[in-house]
Amino acid sequence: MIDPSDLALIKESQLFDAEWYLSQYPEVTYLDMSPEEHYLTFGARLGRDPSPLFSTKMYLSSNPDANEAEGNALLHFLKSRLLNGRGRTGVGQGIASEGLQQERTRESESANFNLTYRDDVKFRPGFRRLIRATRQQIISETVSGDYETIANLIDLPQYLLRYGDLVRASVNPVAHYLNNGRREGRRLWPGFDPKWYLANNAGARESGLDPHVHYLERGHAEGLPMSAWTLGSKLFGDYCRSFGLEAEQIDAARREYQTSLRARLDRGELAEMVSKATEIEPLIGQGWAAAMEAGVSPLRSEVVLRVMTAMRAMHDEAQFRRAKAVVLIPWCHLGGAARVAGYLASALSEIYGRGDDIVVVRTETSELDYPEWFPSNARHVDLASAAEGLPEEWKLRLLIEFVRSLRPTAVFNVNSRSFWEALLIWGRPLSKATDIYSYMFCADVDIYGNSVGYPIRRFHQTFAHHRAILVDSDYLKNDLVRRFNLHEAGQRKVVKMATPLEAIHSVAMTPGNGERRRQIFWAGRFDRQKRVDLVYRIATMLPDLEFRMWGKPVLDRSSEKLRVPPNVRHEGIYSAFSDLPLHECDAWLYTSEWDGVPNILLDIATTGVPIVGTAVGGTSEVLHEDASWPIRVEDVDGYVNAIRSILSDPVAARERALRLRGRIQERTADRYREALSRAMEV
Amino acid sequence: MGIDLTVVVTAHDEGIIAGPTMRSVEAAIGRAKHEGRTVERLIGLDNPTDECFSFFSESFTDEWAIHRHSFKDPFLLRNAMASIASGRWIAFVDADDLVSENWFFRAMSVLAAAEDNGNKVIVHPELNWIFDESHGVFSKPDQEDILFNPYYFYTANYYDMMSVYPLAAILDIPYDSRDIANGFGYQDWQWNIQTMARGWKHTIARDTVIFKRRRQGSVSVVNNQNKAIIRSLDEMAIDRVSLISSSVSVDDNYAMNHVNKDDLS
Repeated sequence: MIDPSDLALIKESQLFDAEWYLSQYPEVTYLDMSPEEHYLTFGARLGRDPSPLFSTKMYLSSNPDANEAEGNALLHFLKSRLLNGRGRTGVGQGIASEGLQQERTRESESANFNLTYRDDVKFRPGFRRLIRATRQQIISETVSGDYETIANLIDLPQYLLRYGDLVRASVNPVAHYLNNGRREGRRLWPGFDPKWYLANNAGARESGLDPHVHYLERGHAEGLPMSAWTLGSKLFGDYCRSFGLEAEQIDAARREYQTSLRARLDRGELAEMVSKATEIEPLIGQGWAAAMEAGVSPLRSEVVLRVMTAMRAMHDEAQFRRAKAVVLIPWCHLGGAARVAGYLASALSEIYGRGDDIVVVRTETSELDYPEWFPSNARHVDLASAAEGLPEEWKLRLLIEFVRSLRPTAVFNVNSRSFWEALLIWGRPLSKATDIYSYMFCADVDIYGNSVGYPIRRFHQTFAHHRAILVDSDYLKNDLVRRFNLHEAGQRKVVKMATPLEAIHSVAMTPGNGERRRQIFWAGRFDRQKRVDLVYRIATMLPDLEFRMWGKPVLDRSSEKLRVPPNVRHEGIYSAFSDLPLHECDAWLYTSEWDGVPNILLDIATTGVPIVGTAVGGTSEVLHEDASWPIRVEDVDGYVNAIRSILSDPVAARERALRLRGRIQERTADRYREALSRAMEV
Repeated sequence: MGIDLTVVVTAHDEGIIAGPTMRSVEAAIGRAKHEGRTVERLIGLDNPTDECFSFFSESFTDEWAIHRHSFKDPFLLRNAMASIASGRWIAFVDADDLVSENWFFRAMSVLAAAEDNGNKVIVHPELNWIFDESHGVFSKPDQEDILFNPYYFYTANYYDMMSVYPLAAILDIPYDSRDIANGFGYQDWQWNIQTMARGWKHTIARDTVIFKRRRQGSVSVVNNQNKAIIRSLDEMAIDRVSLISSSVSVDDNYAMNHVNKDDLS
């Protein structure tokens, strides 16, 4: 009966070479057992060698206790190394110090060190001398603390190949490791990344042990992952699950291949080929350190593994079906852009006749607070979650490849920062595969007063890649046309899309004329853009009125420093526009420093409530002179006088406001869809 | 008796760095001949620099037929060279890379065995060994290996153009042209996907190596700098990518699936 742990030990050891074993004892091929099983059952007892690297005869002659204890020289060797902690690199991925009797030196044994190595083809004469000298340097140092442990763990040839800086500085690599190398995350043997191990195994971090020591003494037995692509790692588990792969099987195949490759790079035809090529081109010989880390992709790169797993997850969300249109949004929570994206997706659904032809991708955060804004059968994909942990450029690449894999006719970008960034890199090739449309809303203004935002920063950089740029106001279109001196063809590419009304609200009741304080409503973000300070100044000049404000700071907290006048009441956030007590509202005040066509203005315009608002940017397209009270931004007296005027003749004010209500109803979903169809035919 | 293998060395601006390449190629040809294979030697120069032309005009190329073109496109050059090749199989070698001595011989053994079994295969070396300006060693999997995953093609090319395959492969599916101006590169990556999807099985010859020199201005470095991507391929569509390495060609499989869906509806 074979002990499974013995079998595992043999299989993992570099000192057992299955191929070589079969070549030496070909009759094993015909038996119904693996070479490892044969060796454990019969081979060792017959005195056979497990590989050219391990002499059973020599081992037994110098370790007589092995015969009594195990009857299996290799097993004895491996177990004793595990027990007394000498040369433990064999349990991990190390190779060089895994013991070659031919090379073992007397002085190293007597000094309690196990700095042995195989003399394989990659060791040119100079390198052999370097190893010998370094080994002597390590042995001659004073032993204290972890020194001996590290000296026995280090895969010296690999370490010297990998860290040329130590060689050039002629420092003792073990002393250097203890002083600096451990902190720098240097690897004592190939395939084990101590930084990753500590970052991903809390127990190892908390133990205070050197990560290599922790892995060999505890981690290996506990099945802790050595890297992102080994069994036990969450990422590896996710990868296997998402592709329907058996994790144990994949892990075993990877280990088997790497073991085989490393052995063949040491000896045999492959090693000989590299050696011969190095004779022709010496630069090739500098690649040995890299060769020790070789493996089959993607199980050699955390980033690539993440990208593939993310792509698969996104394909799953997209139901493994193509899409006619892709709509890219940063997130879906309360905000104008997501709402507009909903109108857009609904219009596309009608144009194509099927909502499930639309894939909506959230690129920056995962929230999907208002799925009802989109066609009910649109497919939603969360790139933000899938791409978590990816470096920025890989996230952008993932986005582009995902979009391309959907084979869409058109891609619509509604404020997706990642897509704007991706367009800078891959806009041209993407435009050869699909039509690209991006929405632009009004530019922002920074604290220095400079215009910033996508219309300022990205329009000229990506204009050529777009089939059309969609804007929500004539104001923005005219600004872009003027700024870039666009003529016919250019102007046709900038398409104004009048945002449709979400609902035509019923006309709000006019508040009664009884003994009550008149009320002015305001709602919006308490941000610099919305000029909360203006509201306070206006309120101060109208102390007999009550100002009720809904909203909160979103982008900045500038409003919190302002003194709130006593006649201003903060009402918090409203959950739905229809919840506002508009029957108590005598006039609506809208203030803004810069703007597009805000949804809140469209909503109020349908209620028949008189609006006094800032005429800036796109708001002028709603606040007509004969149907509302448009005022220049800083004209505080203008706002005050307009409010007084409304309150002095509320009936006339209502008539004027109802004119706006009639006019605004031109913004229908049908007209929006027609405009979109025209834009797609540009 | 026909020629077994046409070896094509392609060059554009390589000068003396093609020296080690040619030495390694001659060694590999010598090994193949020793094993009883017949080999045709071709050199394809594409818009060669003076240094390149001068180097390949030396006497060491006496046994090589040199063809000069002006495509300014390494992939169109390969197509052109394939059209004049006489071998049953063809092997391309970039003039700055080296091959392991066993490369041609081992690849032909794999090809011959596959063809005996009626399989269409394209053979890649087991390892890509990057050297010179940077270092890295990459293993390539057989497409039927359990570790192979077609999604990898979204991120990188499992293989490259240093492969050996029947002449019919490139004649049936020529390389697409280079289009760096529009951001497209890696036509070998594209070709590997397309051939795989059309039923060519990509496999490896064990213990063989291509040593790829990384230097400023080399095709892969330029592609990297330009952040080039492969063309948008229908084979990589969401509903096809998992099929590209299946034994049925993607086109057949895709057609079958869609016929079935239509029948159901």
